[in-house]
Parts: sequence; structure tokens; C-alpha cells
Amino acid sequence: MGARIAVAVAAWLVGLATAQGEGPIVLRDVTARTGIGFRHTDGSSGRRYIVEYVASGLATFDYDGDGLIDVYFLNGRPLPGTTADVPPRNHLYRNLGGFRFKDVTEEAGVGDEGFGLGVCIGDYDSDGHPDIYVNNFGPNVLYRNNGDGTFRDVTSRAGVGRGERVGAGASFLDVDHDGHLDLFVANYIKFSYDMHAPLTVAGLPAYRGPQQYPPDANNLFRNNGDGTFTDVSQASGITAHPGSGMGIVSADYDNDGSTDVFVLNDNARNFLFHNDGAGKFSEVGLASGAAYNLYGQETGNMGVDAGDYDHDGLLDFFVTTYHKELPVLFHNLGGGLFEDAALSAGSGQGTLRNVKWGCGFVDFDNDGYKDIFLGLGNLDDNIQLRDDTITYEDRPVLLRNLGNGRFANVSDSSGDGMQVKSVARGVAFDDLDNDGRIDVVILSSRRPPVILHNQSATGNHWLQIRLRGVKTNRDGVGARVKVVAGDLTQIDEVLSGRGYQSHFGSRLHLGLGKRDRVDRIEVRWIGGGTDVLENLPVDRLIAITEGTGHPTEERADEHVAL
Amino acid sequence: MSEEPRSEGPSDSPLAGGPLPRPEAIPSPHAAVTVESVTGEAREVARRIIERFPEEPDALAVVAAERALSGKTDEAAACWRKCLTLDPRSAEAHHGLASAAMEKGDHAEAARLARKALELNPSLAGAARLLANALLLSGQFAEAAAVMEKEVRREPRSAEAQFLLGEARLQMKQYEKAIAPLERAVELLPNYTQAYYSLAAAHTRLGRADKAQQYREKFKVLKAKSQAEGREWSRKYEDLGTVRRGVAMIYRFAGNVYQAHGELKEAERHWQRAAAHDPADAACRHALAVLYQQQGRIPEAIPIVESLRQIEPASAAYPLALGGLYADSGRPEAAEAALKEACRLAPDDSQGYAALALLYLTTDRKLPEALALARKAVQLRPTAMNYALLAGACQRNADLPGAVAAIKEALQREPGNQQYRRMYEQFKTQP
Repeated sequence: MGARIAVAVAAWLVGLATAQGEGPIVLRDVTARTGIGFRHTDGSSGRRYIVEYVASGLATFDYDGDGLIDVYFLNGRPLPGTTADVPPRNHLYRNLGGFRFKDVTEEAGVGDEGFGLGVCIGDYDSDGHPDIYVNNFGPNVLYRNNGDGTFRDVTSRAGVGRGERVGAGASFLDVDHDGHLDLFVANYIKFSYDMHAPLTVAGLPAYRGPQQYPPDANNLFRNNGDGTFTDVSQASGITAHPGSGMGIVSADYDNDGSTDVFVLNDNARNFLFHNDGAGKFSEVGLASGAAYNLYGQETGNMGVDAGDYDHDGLLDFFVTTYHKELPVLFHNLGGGLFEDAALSAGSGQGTLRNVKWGCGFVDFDNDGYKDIFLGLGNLDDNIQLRDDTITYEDRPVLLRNLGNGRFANVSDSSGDGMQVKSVARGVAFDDLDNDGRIDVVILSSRRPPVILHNQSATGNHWLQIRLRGVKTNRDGVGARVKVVAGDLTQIDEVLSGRGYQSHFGSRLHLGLGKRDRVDRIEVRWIGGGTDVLENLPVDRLIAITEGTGHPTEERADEHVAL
Repeated sequence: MSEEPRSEGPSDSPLAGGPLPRPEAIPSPHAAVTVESVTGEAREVARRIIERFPEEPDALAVVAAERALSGKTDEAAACWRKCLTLDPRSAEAHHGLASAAMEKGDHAEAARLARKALELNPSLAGAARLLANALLLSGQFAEAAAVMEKEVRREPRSAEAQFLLGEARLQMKQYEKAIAPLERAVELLPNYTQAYYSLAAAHTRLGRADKAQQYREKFKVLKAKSQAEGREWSRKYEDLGTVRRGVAMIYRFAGNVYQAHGELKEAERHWQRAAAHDPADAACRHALAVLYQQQGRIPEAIPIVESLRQIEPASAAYPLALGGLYADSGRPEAAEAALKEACRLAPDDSQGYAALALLYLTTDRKLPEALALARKAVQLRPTAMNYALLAGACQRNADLPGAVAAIKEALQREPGNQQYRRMYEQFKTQP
């Protein structure tokens, strides 16, 4: 009875707040009650090594298969000049439901003490349990999920350690349609401590940019199907293109059935690696229009997400950038071409003031159109001393998709969660309480994270889909899904690694507006066949198993509504 | 450094009604130059000028510039607002406030203020560009295009104006219409990297793959060059030098204000200090050179113009000026060398030839060469003055008919010029 009253009071409060000027999207800051005690460190001592400001990403995924999405934070180990009594390490928080989390790092065995930068999730051995790949400054780590709540470090056996390099984003993908997840690992720059030199700007200590260090090539590891990988960076055509890699996303931008790779480069042109279907890549960034912003300028590119924001059946890319630079919205024109639609779409509103990092195409109000969320925060903790228009900590920005190709900045009318300042780096988006609304986790540099609970009360319908590959990779990474509900047709793709060096959204989420049935779902498995399902109910999580042609309803262990 | 200013003590200028400079305002030439010390100097320049001219919008503009340079956008905006209370029709103040609004990401406000600045002064440098950018960022593409259409009519040789017009049209998806201004932009500025990118985009949208590829290739070449330059700049970045360049600008602005109020000693001191801070600041050196020339301080003008020649080695204007200065100071060989350099740098400009001819004539040397040079000057620019020079050269080379013919041409162009008339009369009566 007490709980019911609490729920009613909370709902009344939400309604009251809405009446007082909140829009359809409401994000509440619930960090304090999550029990998450993680505090990020970037290893800094004041020397301002370049690797400090690029840390770190995070992952949201269901590691234990209980139907609740868990959170894995990367962390930075102490760099020269600083020490720590207790070495900082990555932390895994198990979702207990009701926005309560428990630190299970120790028992899960995933507390890597390296300098964590990027992370991706994928079931590389198709055993039904998602594995973790951590891209570090220093040796990388592949954690194999044992399926019992624990992981084992299998890096050495798998051969994906990659040595002493500065990592960035990472992504599992099946490059050659053999049913095994391969691994793309982006690298930032070539760096060693002896290459570091202090820098001042306007007399104040500042970080050096990537252009002052040699670029580094990325890596592609082919999955041999026996728990080991082979480095095919050279043979695949990847090595020929060294850059200053940051966020990456692997997605089929040209609808040819093969997963391509979009690699952002910091202060340099982006690489769009087109996959020929056999795992050979051509770099087509400039010709496709995805290398530069609308003015042909290289920007300080940070995070990237892929999604079809305008329902034209083509995946677009949203790219976050440095302060005083507009984020880039690469609108997919078809035929392998993109145009930066940032001005015409209004997708940079409210963002020029700071550096932009984690981002996502996310339908927060379930109206059927993907909105854009960006985490903001500066590199330099003293930035305000040399430019009073910029702050180190900053509020995030939420751009609501108006359904006409344009976005509106609704940050000020979308709940108290949008007022919370952080020094955002990785940002992840998933439904943490299985209420059909996507929540937000922000990794804040040198600070505790921020957890935002989506309490949008729109009455819109939704559908979440979890794919289960049989012949193809187990989690359906790279599979293309088309969902038709009345007049609304949406596409989505299961991605591994996205945003700012992070991972989220393994479970697809589609808002449906007021449509209360889904007419048809098509799933095109990567390198496999196509499954078609028709006439489906909404407001639930379903699983689609490859080749069965029918869904099963997934139930979480707990569904807690406020 | 010899360019370090010295304390001048109390000013004896009748206009010097304000407080005297405090001793700490004048940096010691032996003090270590640090970012802190030079930014402190800039603050002091701003403090003194506003103390001296508290109700003067130009002085407030100096303070606003200093505040903006220090990253204090709000304080800069406050200065501009005060400017507006003193002069509500100040285009510069509206422009300054528009810039501050842009810095803060308030594009609608920036557009409103920039539009007002442009209304008040349609030729205010940068105002149309600022307005167009603010409109583009606000998604008002047609309005941005209209602003730039007007601007390219006013400044048809501005590559940036042409480029922005092209960009606005691209945003309006008027790809065909975007091409003309973008092509004009690269005509005016053949290394305009971004314009080639936009041209490639326009042709791509129009399905002209070959043309797009052609522009893309050009873009690639230019981009590779600019990236290499960017890396080099980044590698060589020197914080103190960068800060000093900004501080030099503040000194120069302040010098201009003192000059406008007739306080030439203060103006000179500020420009000198600007020159000391920024070895590449041409504007402050130009101001000093003009001042010295006006005051007949030729020996002081010469090294300043020499430094300008080093800063802008491709400009013929400085060797030309040096020719005159060396000639005035009795150094004909140096003058000759400078003027030959001017002719080499600007072979299609008559001024160098005319000045060199005049030098030979006035020093009574190389008279046949003087005649040839005068003819060249006339050929390039048949003005009354060049014809008069030619007449003089003919006369000195004993070509009286030629002298008469040339001076008649000069008179035809300037019938009221008494000097030409006297020359004509003199040549006519000579045997």
C-alpha cells in the first residue's frame, strides 16, 4: 500500500513539474540513490599528459543475463607524478532493479588497473554471454564471460593485447560474414612520456593537442573461431591510414549487407572504411563527404553514433566536436554520400560553448523519432581563467527530434537531470529499469558518474528487441532491423562500440508514438538470412531468434515503476 | 631591445589633463618579459586610457578589446554597453556586443546586434560576415544569402563574402546558384581551400561527378599543405609570443585613440611599444612611419620602414617609401637600390619608375635612363604628373620637341596646373 502511494505521489510530482514548464522529455538525476560509489580518475598530477583528457568510456550491458542492464566504468591508473594508495581500476555495477546497483568488480574479476580509454561488448565466442574488450593506454584486455557472473582475462590467448599504445574506441563486428565477431581497435596517437612537453596558453598550463604527436594506425583482428584472433590490420587495408582515432562506430551505412567502420580522428579528417564484404576495406571518407564538416574543416572529433534520424532507411552519423565547433550531423543521402546537415537540422544548438563527448541517437519520448543527447565538459580545469564563456564542468544538451528533419534544444525543459554539471566523457543510453524509457549514464572525468532516470510521461508506445543469432554471431551484432507500425517505418542496427569510446544499446529500442501494434519486423542477419515477423504487440521486450520467425517475450527479473 | 619605451615623465602637452602615468605603467627594459607582465601592461594601458578619456567611446573600445583578449567576454560586453550609453549609434559597439553574443552562442542576439551595426555603418569591417554567420547558425539561410548578396555588391573583390554567399545558397539547396560565387571566391583567392570543398559538394549534388572530383583533388592538395602548416605552427607554438601579439594590438588601438586626440607623444609611445611586442605588426609601424615623416624625423622613419619591408617583402610600397626617405636624407645610392626593388616588385606600377626617374633627374645622374623610366611610367599610367616628369626628362636629355609634346599632354589633362603652364612656356621659348 505504501509503495502504491509513493508511486502515485511520484507520478503527481512528475505531472506537477511538467505543468510547470517541462516538455515531453523528463530526465531526473537519481545518482545519489543508485549506490554507485565509483569515482573516475584520469591519473593526473598537473603534468597534463595528453592521455588524461581522453579518459574514459563506459559500457551498459546485461552481463549476467538477468534482464537488467548493468554498468561498467573504465578508469585511469595513476600516471607519473601521482600515486594512489588503492590503485584505481575499472568497476562493474550489477543492476539490482529500482535504480539500485551493487559493485561486483571483485567477484566478476573485471577490475583492470590499466589506463582505460575505450570499451566494447560482444559475444566473441558465441557462448551466449557477452564479453568485454577494454582499449587502454597500455596493454588491452579481453574479458571472457564465464556465464556465472565471473570473467576471465583471455587477452594473451586471444592475441589482442596490442602492446603499449594509446587506445580509443573499439568495436566487435563480423567483417567477413563468417559468423564470428572480429574486433576493430582504434588508436589515438603515438605517445610516450619522453615525448611530453609542458604547454602554456595565455600563461596557464594547458594540454597539448594530438597534432603535436605522430598519428597511429588502427588495428583489425580477425576472429579465428577458436578463441584466438589474427591481426589483419595490414591485409585488410586499415594500416595504410594512420590517424588520431577517437570514437568509432561500425555500421552498414550503404545498406550493402556488410558492416563498415567509421573512425573519428581528433583534429584530422575522419576515416570511413567501406567493407567489401570479405573484410577488405577502402577508405572513402573524402569522396563520401564524411571526412570533414560542412566547410571542409577537420574538427576536434570525439564521439559518434549511428541512427536513422529522418526515417529515410539510411543510417546517419552524429559526431561530437571541440568547443566553438558545431557537432557534425552526417546526413546519409544514399549512394554512399553524406552531407553535414548541422545547420539545416539545428543539431548544434546550445553546444558551441564547450567540448562535446559522449552522444547518442535516442528516442527519449518514444515518439518514433530519435533525439540527440550530448555530454559536455572541457579538457582543461582552468579553462575559465582564459575564456569566461567556457567552463570545465557543464550541463548536457538534449536536442529533441521534431520529426521534420529538425531538432529543438529542450535542455532547459527536460527535468532536473539536465541541470547537473559534469565533465562528461563516455555517455551510455539504455533502459535501466525496464520501463520502456531510455535512461542515461554519464562518466564524468575525475568525478562520480551521473545517472539520469527517464521519467517522460508521454503515453507513447515502444518496443525493445533483443536478437539471438544462431548461425550468425550470438547477439546479432551488425544485424539490420526494420520495424513497420502503421505509417511509421524505422530501421536500426545492433552496434558494438559507439558514442565516445563506449558501448550501449545492444537491446534495440524503438519508440512508436501512439501506434499500439507493430505490423511487421524484418531482421536481416549479418551474413545470414532474413526473418520476418508480423502483427506484434507493443510495450515489451521481445527476443527474436535467428531462423525461427517468431518472437519470445523477454522478462526482466524485476520491473520497478516509480 | 632598443624599441623598449622609456619613461617620458610628465607630459607637457596642453591636452594632457589626466593623471600622470604611474611609474609601474612603464616596464623596465631590463625586467623579465613574462605572460603575466605583458598582460599586466595591457591592463594598465586600458586603465590609463579610460582614466584619460572617460567619456570617449574609442577609449572604451580599447578596454573592451583588452578584456576580450583576456577572455573576459562579459566584461568586454559591459564596456560595449557603456559605449552605447555614450553613443547609441556606435556601429562598433553594436558589433562588439554581437561578437560577444556569438562567443556565448546566442546567435539570435548576435544577428540582431550585427544587423544594427550594419545599418549604422554599412561598410563596418566584418559586420556583414558576422551577421551572415549568426544567421546561418540560426538556420536563417535565405536571410544570410540576402546579407551576403548585398555585401558582394559592396565588396565584389572579397573572397570571403563570395564564399559565404555560396555557403548560404548551398544550405538553401540552391546548388547551381551557389557555384558562381564559390567560383568567384577561388578566382579571387586561388588557395581558398574551403571554397573548393564547397564547389565539390555543389557539383556532387548536381550529379557532376567529374567536376566534383576535379575540385576535390584541388581541395586535397591545399588541405595537405594547410595541415602541414598547421602542424608546424602547433609545433612551434610559443605562448609568450602569442600573448605579446595580442598586447601589441591593444597598444596600437590605444595609440590610435591618443593620436585622434592630438596627443602624439602618447600615440608614438604606444605604437613603439606595440612594435616592441610584435615584430610582425605592420599597422603600428606604418603609423609610426607616417608620424615621423609628417614630423620630418626622417632618420627615425627609415629603420621603421625598413622593418616594414622585412615584414611584407612582397609589397612594393615600402621600398618606394624608402626611396623617398633615402633621397630626402641625402643617400642617393640607397634610394636608387630601394626604388629598383620597388620596380622589380611591381613591374606594372608606374610609381617606381617615376620615382627612380625623378631621383636620377634630381641628382643629375643617368639621364638617359631617367628618360626611359619616365617613358615607361607614362606608358603604364598616362597621368598629368607622369607626362610632366617625362617633359622634364626630355628637356634634360636635350629633346626639346619631346619635352614640349609631353608637357602639352600634361596640360591637356590638368589645364589649370600653373607649374605645367610655366614649364610649357619655358620649353616653348627655349631655342
